[in-house]
Amino acid sequence: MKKSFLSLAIASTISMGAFAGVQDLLITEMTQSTDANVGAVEITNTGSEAFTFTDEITAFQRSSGKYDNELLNADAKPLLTGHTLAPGAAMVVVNSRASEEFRNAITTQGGTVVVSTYDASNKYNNLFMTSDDGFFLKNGDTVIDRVGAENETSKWAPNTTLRRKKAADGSNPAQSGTFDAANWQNILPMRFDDLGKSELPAADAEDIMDIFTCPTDSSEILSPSEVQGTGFTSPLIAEGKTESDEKIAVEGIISAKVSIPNDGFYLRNLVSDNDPETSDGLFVSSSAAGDLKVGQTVCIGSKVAEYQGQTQLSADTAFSWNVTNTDILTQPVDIEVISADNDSFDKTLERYEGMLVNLPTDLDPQTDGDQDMRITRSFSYNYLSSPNGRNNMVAAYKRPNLQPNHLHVAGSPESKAAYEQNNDYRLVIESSPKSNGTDLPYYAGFNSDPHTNYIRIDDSLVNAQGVISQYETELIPGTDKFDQDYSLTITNQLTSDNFIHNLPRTKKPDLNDTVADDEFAIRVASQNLFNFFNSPFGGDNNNYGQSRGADTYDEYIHQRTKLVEIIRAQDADVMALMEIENNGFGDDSAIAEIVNQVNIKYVDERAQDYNGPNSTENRYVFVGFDNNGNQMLDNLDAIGSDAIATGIIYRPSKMSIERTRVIPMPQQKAPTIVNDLGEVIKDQNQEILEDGQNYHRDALVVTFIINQTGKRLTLSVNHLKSKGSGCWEEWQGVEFGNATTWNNREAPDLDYQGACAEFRVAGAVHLGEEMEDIPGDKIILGDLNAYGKEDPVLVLTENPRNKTIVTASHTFLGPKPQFNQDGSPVTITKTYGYIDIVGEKFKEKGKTPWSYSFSDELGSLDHILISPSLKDRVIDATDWHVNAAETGLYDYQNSFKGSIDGTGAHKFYKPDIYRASDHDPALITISYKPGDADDSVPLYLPKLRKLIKVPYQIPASISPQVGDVATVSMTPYDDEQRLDLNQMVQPKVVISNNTTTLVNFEVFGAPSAIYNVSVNLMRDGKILEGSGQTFLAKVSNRDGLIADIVEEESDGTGGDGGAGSTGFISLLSLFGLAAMRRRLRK
Amino acid sequence: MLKKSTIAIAIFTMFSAGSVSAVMLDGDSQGDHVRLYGEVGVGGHFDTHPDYNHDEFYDTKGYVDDSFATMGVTGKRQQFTYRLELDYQRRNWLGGDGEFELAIDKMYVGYAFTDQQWIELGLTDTAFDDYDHFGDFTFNKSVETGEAGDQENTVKYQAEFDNFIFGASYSYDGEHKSGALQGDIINGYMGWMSDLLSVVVGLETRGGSNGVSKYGEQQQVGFGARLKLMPDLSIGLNGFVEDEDLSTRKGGDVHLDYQTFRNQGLTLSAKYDLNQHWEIISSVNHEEYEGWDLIGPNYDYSELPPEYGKERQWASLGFNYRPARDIVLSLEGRVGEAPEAAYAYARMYF
Repeated sequence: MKKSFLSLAIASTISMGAFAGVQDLLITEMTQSTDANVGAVEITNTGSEAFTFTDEITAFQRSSGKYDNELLNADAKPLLTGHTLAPGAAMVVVNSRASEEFRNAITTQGGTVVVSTYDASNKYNNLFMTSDDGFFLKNGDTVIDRVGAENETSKWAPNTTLRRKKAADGSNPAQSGTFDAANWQNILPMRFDDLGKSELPAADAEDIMDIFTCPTDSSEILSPSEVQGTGFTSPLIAEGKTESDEKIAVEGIISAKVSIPNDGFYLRNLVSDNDPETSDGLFVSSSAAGDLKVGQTVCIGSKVAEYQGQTQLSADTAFSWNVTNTDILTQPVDIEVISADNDSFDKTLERYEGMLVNLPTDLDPQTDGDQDMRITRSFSYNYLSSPNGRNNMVAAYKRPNLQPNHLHVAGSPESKAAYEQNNDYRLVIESSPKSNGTDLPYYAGFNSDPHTNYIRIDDSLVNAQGVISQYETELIPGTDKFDQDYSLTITNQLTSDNFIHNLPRTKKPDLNDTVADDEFAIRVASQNLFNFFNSPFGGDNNNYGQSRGADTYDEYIHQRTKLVEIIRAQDADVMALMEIENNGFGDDSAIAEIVNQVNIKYVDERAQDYNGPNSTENRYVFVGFDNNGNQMLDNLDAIGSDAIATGIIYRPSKMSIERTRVIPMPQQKAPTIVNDLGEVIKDQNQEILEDGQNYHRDALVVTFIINQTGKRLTLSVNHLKSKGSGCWEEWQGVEFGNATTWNNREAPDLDYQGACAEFRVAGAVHLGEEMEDIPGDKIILGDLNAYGKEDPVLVLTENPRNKTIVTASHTFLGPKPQFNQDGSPVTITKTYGYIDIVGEKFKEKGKTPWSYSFSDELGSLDHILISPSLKDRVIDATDWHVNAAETGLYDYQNSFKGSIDGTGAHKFYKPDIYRASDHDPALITISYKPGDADDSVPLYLPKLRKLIKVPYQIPASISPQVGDVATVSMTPYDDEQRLDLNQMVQPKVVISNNTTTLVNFEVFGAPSAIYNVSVNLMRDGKILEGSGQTFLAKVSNRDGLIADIVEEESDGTGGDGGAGSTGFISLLSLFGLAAMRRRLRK
Repeated sequence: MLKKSTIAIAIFTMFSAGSVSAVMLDGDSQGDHVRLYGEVGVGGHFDTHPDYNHDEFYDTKGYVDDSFATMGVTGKRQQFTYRLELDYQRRNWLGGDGEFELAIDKMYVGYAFTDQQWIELGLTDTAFDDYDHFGDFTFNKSVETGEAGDQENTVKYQAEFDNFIFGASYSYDGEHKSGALQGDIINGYMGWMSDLLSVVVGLETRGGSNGVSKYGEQQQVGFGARLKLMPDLSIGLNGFVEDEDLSTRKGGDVHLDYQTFRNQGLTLSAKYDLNQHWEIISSVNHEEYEGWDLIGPNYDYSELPPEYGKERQWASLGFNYRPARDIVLSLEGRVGEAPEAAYAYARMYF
């Protein structure tokens, strides 16, 4: 109480004590346009003494009629403090970005320029007048003078200069804390020729308004099509210029009024010129079109400009046009591709620029089939900077855009052509008004029921109507240029009929597992888990202090639910997982949590249900790696150097682990990127631009034996360094000069491989080398962060065009340089011969695989690369478009999803499979026949309730007959074990069908051990010659569902202990006389 | 691994040089005899160098003691021979603790077919062990070869004619000196001896431990030569090439993923007899181990690279002073990438 009294007293004392002369300060001129650079306020000292500003006199911008923003200098003091204004002199406050030329002109005219200050940390202290702003001066707490009505929120002064008029008696006007427009001379368009001059116009000075009047001579009036012409730019603009020299008059009917991509309206010809090569429409950029209505006829005076690729007129005020109040409907025109377009879809769209159009079901009637527009980016944020940043979609002509390197070797002319074609075929789908991020203004059905009325990538967008515009979109990496794209701003209401699903949602992958009689299929899948982190929700902590997954418990449950559903739906026998929290393999690890949740559904225990969907036979276990070697699987067994890791889960009913290992992947330890002075360069986020330290996730490698066979199947699960990060290579050849900050998006990307392509090559080479030592069938799968024909995939598969593929520099395996001791990169000529099986199978089907959508391009980052030895066993392989095709609105995250309901869910959430992750899974099915085996690998015959099935593949040379008897005899391989074989039942099987090729003996009670097995076929009590077979079989319990450490067995490379004659012969190799023995292995 | 093999050679050399300094416990004109023999040696390595220590020393410090004593009984009755030898030695190798231990170094029974040919059964040197440093005159021994050394369960045949020598041995379940299984070991040598020029070639192969230890299969060729340039000056050449398989990975207790490492070494030495008591000995040495090669495919990248790189070279100059036949005082200095600066030793045989 007392305090406020006191402060009031002090305040009034101070303001009372303010100086003489303050009453002589007058705001005498103001100018503003949409461009803040020329926004300026003139203040004149009308008194007879010089006036020096103190902290008491403060200047404010009244922003948009809503906010009082005090102008401050660099020391955060009032901007004008310290400035002295001579009697009769004027000062002009300008924006910090005002050009030198502009400021010099003011000085020449006698004014003092005060440049306001831009400070990123306090950005509203800069004078930033953009046609809807005002300005006032305060003395202490009192507003002493003002321009612009206090609560005027409209663009009340577009492109306008206001000059203070003298009082009626010719004297200087008095200060006024309120704005009276009558006291100001209104000049439109704005003029700068008086800024800095202190003379005021007379009280009766007329407004100077440049008001357009449509010419009476109709020959002076142009139509929109005449402005557009046949080319990409208007014929009215001189070569090399972006604007016509003269204003012209253009008349047309308003076909549409939208605010996206730019505020304004669209004119169309009164009468079509019937020339398909010219557009009959034209955009008028204006923020003053509030009163205009679609159907009115407008005659407008404006210069013609090419702005971001678009031919347009512009009008700051309604004085620029004359309106005839007609109500003439504009029928949208079907976009049609014509031969004059020469296969340039940009050319097609240019012919419709500014027009109201319709997307027909067939844009090119001259060509067989329907060429329509396909969604190539689902509804999502476009990541453009202001003012173009918003949620929208992108469509492409005929097909979704494929990443250029997906089907074409990175850097090849074909890849560059694909890049150009993507740019050419792109059409941004916009709404007006701007979407709030969850609703599509043109699709009520989506807004009310997004689960039924979904929109996916590759949907055909038909009969959508709207206007065609063009604007600058993405920055082209390594340049200061932007892509220019055409857009369609939709003006009609759409229904599900407008979105034709070419890849409709499916509940399970379209994957063939049909096998021949007696054979069985093994299904292998790869799934990205979209940063599944359980540590904030009761799981084990990771060692990296990060949580990249769910932010709340609700989100966590939703994420987990969707992941569990998508894992179950794939019904894989073994699955590689990416982006799972790297918190080890304890009971509370993320991978244990996922497995436990998936297994909950698998409860049917009876043998008769074994092939059923809920059988306990479907249960998974995860492969744990005792990475710290303490003989325990726990949270300390984290792998590699990242907060996320890869993982493997499998069904012990189908396969058994033979051995596991982690392949540590190369690291880049390159110099930090510095400028010419050796200073470390930071990026736009104040983080080090590139510190030269880069990592892959380590590869998990597990060798399984398929149960009932002796076939090895090794899976290597990988997640190579991403394209979105940065490596040392990106910045080589970039001239930094003395810069200490650099936008990290400006790294050049000439072959579209993204960042770290060379580092991924180094990873691929190491992986290929390490995998070469592993015997048997192999699959490299996971997220290689490389599209189908990018360097790392070429290294692992083949390089038929002998592309020069170079590794990253300064890559190390621990302290060991990976290639050269001086860190220099090497050219990789060796390839490892794996087969991109999904690509190959899709090629057979005439389809294109893809698993990921980035920006508006699709491609496969998630691969299944198989060793050639496996190829004949492959039944089918596929991507399943259950995630990447969908908008991210369906994912588990709650932010930017609108209101959250009582269950903690947003309206797009459903406990289903769609958008469980951002990557699509990739799957493969492989066939095996019981009894198949690799050399010297015993058949793995796991027991189920003491029962095993011993397979007998009857030799092809034997024709069994009904009544023949197959017999089996099993004897322990190692006599010393003294097994109790009393319970063992070795049945005879009578052949009941003479086409039988496989007999399964159900042997009961065989103790776990390795056995010599002898099988044969008897006819009439005698063994059929040639029917007998002997092999080794390993009878064991299945791999447990409880985490257990599988001890590896000798891999046979360590010699057999005997130094026989072969040893002596190989001594010759020491002299170079014999083939260099195992040295060739590497 | 001094050093068992080094000492053994010293003794062998002494015997073969016709030394009779052993104590004759019993003997007769038929040649049957029992002898007690042995030695006591005190000394060691000075200024050992951490940057250059491969696996020579258990520790690197100013003085690494390498004192050593051995005592043995050897005998012959009719055609049968036997030998029992005990060593009191330091566990002086990388990973050892430098403490003394008592070990049975040899325990065999032999049979001499003739004076030129005999066999030995039991714990003894493998055949090539006798000649693996044939061309190296230094007392300290220079480049270490990877041959098998002493082995249990060994059958050895040796023959020595006027100029031609031959030997071969087979060891069942051979072991590294650390006790780790290496598999069966076969080695042998063949040589030509003369006053002017002597040449020995040795071969060795082993079967590997099949996952039990880090040792896989191995082949080695060794070569030694001595040339008497002048009555008082001899030069020697000693070298080896070895392809040794070592495990590069371990899963639980099982060693896995054996890879072949090629190792080679070469010593060129010279000995000058000043007089009856003094010898001057010098050597130049080169050795390279694939495991040291940072760029090699099998480099263990959990380790920092050795300071000397993938090969090391050094030279030595030393003196042997023999005040009496059975006393040797030895001093040697080394320069280059040598694991020690000097070696000094006093040794007496009996």
